[in-house]
Amino acid sequence: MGMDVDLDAVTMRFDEFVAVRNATLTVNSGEFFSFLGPSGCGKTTILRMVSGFIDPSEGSIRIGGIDMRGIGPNKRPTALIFQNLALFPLMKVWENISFGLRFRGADAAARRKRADELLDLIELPDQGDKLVSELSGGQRQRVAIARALAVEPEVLLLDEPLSALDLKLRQHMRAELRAIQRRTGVTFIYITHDQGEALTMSDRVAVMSQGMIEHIDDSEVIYNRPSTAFVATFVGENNPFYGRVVETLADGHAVVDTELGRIRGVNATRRVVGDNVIVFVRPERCKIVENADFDNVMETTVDRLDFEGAFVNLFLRGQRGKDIIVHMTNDGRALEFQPGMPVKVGFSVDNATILPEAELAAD
Amino acid sequence: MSQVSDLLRRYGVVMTSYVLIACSVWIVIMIVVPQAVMLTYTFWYEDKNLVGELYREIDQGYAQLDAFDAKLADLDSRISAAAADAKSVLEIRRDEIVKKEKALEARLATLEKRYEEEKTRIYWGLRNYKYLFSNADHRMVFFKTIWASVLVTFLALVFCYPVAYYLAKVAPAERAALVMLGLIVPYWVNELLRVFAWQMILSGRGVLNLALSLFGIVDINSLNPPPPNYLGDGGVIVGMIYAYILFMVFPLYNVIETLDRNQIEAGTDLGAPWWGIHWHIVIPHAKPGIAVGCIMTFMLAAGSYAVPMALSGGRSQWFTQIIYTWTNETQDMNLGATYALLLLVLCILFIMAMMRVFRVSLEDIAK
Repeated sequence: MGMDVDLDAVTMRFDEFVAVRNATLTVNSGEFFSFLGPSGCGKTTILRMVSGFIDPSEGSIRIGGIDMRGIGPNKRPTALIFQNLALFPLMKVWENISFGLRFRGADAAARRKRADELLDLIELPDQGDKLVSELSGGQRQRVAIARALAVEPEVLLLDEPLSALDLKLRQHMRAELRAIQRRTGVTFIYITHDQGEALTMSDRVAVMSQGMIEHIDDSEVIYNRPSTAFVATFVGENNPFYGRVVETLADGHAVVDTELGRIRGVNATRRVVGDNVIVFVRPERCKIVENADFDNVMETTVDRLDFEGAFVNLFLRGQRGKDIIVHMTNDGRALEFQPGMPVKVGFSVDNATILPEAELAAD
Repeated sequence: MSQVSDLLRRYGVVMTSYVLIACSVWIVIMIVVPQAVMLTYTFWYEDKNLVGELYREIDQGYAQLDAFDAKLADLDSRISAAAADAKSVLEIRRDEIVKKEKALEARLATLEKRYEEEKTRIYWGLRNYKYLFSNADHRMVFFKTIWASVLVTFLALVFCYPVAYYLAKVAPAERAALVMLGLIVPYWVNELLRVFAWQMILSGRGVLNLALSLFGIVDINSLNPPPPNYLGDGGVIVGMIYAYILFMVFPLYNVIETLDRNQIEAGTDLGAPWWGIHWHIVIPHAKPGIAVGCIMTFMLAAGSYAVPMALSGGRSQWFTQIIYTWTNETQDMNLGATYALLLLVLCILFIMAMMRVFRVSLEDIAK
């Protein structure tokens, strides 16, 4: 079972620029943990700090309870998988995989044996004598994973490993990685800007923006109950409606006067009357309705329709001029909507999340 | 020929013709013709000894003729002054001498004709090579030159590899640029002047001993014994490493620069200590650069003239100095050519050996 990783008030400064600001979190032993965020948010910096290539300016990092300050990457119980894989082009596949074992006193025969075991694990038996350049992208990916696993790390760090692969392969590899993690029990720390990856593979996700950790939680909570405006718009699509709180209710709900109209939503962050807020409604939680059976019903007109195959995005304009996007599956009815048609959009209270006004994720 | 049609397509007829013609001219005039001429030179020789001998004989002959003339003049005067009975004896003597003179003149005519022939006659044969391989002193100098050049190459490699690695992978950009500038700037000074500067450093009352005398290690003013000088074999090796350092650093730097830094980090992350990184990751990648650096340094060292001339303090001799003696002092171009050819063959063999040892091909080197 892998070790846990503990970050305590970790800050990283490069001259004037603060790459990571006061990060405090614990990755549990044996967990698949993802850092999710746009480029430049600091996730790569965190990975390099955990792997030992840089020491934090402030704060401490503990792996398995031991403070890692001053311990170099070759002495830490971690292994890093690089974005461009960094396999050794002049060595054969089995030599690549068993490279780390050279420095642990294993002789050539033992190393070859271990390499063959790992080749079986990654389902590339008998490929050991090939050169790396003779393998495909997906195969190289697996060799990189095997190379890291060969040194039996407690914590495996993965730096956007799937970003160079095509869609089908990426989806296949997601399942592979998850399976390998489950099988070996190693703690995985995974960084990516692709939220689909993060949500499907991880036990927990940390969403980051500009050096700050915005929200750490299970995939489901991150998606359904985002804690900040950034998380709400970075993870998945969301309809943001700016407005002001006009009423707070006893059951944790509140009424907000927004650009779309009056919306009743969940007030998890306990906004008070007069606060500037944004109400977020997921496009797939909106329904086209005939009557007013929902908590929130808006009168709109169809602006346009984006047909994307399995599903359809419907762009509707509200009475106050604000657009709302509705995401529907292509069940055959979607194409009935013509521009200019009046439709009613409905969504429940639980599907309207009220959050303090803050910066959204850039498109 | 597909490369030619590629060139034609890209640059058009005029440019391509210019490039092809310029390259051919270069190759033929600068490489093929001189080497071919030099090669033919090794197969013929002039018999300078014979020519010299003939010249001496002719010289002596004329001297002898002068002596005869003097003798005749003397006899003539004695004959005219002599009495009748003594006259016949003297006249007989005079006739003898005239006969001798005529014989000598005839002989001189033959000798002179032969001299004119031999002066420009060339003999075809392997005498040059025989001479080369039979001269034990020169053989020793040749092997010493090879050994010292190998030593220079090896020491230069050992010294320059860390420098090149530091510049390519460790130093931040500005510092790397400054250090490289520091390496290049001395080359703006003429090579000869730099070599003489080393002579000043290494000589008995030179800069090095001046520094040492400040620490009391050496007395720079003592006359008996005089302060030690560092010229000689050691001085030559140091001077060569200094003179050719760029030719080792730059190929190494260029090739190490192309190594993906991630590979070094991956190696470290997997547990390799610094020497493991270099042995398994950096050096295999750097092999073409190492080969090029070694080849250039070896060729420059083996073919160096100024450095051994200035820094050996008269103690050691370099192969190039022998070639110089042949071509400039003894005026025996053929032996000079033969020795030079031997040097060329040596260098080619070295290049081939390097290519095999480092398993690099010509294309790798070209890059």
